[in-house]
Amino acid sequence: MSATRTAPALGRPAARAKPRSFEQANRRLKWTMLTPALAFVGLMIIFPLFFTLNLSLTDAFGAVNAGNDHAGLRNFGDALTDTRRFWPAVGRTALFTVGAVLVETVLGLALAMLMRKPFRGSRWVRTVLIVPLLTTPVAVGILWLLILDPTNGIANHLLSSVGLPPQEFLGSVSQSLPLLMLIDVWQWTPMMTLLLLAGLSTLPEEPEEAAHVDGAGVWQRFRYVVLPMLVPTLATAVVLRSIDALKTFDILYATKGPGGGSDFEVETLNVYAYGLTFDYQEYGLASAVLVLFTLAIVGVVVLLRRRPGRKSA
Amino acid sequence: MQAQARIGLGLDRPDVLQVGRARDIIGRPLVAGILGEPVAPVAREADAEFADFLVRDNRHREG
Repeated sequence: MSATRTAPALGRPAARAKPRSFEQANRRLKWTMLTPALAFVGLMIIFPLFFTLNLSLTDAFGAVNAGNDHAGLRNFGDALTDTRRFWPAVGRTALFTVGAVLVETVLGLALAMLMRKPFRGSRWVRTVLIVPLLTTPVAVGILWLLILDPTNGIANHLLSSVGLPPQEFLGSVSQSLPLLMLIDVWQWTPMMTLLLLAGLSTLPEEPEEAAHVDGAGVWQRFRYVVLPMLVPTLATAVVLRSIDALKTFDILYATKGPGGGSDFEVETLNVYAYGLTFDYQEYGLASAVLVLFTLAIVGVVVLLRRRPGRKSA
Repeated sequence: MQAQARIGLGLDRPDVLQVGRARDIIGRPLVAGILGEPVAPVAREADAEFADFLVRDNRHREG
């Protein structure tokens, strides 16, 4: 490296000389090839992040480009002391994420274990399984709105056919969040299944066979042999799904509309931030909520990623 | 009625910038009533929330 740097001083003038070594040419080419990717990251990720961070420290209202004053950390204070909308939204976000991801993990693992061994028609089952994943979330929301419609929906028709009373479903304040968790489970359990199925297919068969020879039952083989080996895949799947579940917006908005319903019953942090931005034009406060939300997501990811690492260390 | 509209002043309620937010707060006791919940505590809470909202809305107006 030093040889290439001192070369111009010894020989010809340093004026924009052609690359003199393969290493130098390679270095220049590397940066040239990296430039589009760096520009993309800068424009699409770093700039919006810093713009939002800057906006969260102002009293921006009405229009983003209108004149605004520096407000310090007042927006953060306003958000963190808001017990009427902010903290209930935090609670709903946590409940939605934990509930949905927990059920999806258990169901996904069970389905992956069932589909682990090849069986007749397994390809068809896998194809059918990914249909919810391919459907756009707004279409999923509308589909379930039609199914759960209190007057014309097929769900109440089925309930009445088995003698159960009709339900309000998404029209009810208390049933909305659990039902939306159920819709999320319907849509995203296949992804967990596919991820865990991929993880299961990489596991060696010998430990399980050895346990079988030693007399371990099905549950013991699963609990003490398969599950510990699957932990890294399981952790990755849970982290990916948790990030997605925390950020859920589309099905909530498609089914319940602005504010997450008339009593804000499904208003998660994302829906709240959207409402602050586009319904109330409170850009400063909305940015502060989003900064807090981003920090919370990063915190959750760090927390989820730390535990398996410690175990394996 | 047209004459009344010309001379009348719509100041029987606070003049606010964030009309949508004001509606959301004022609507809370109505929603509580529709849901069959006790209206009085919700109305008291909405009143306090509206007072906070007016301070914030006024801050935006002056800003």
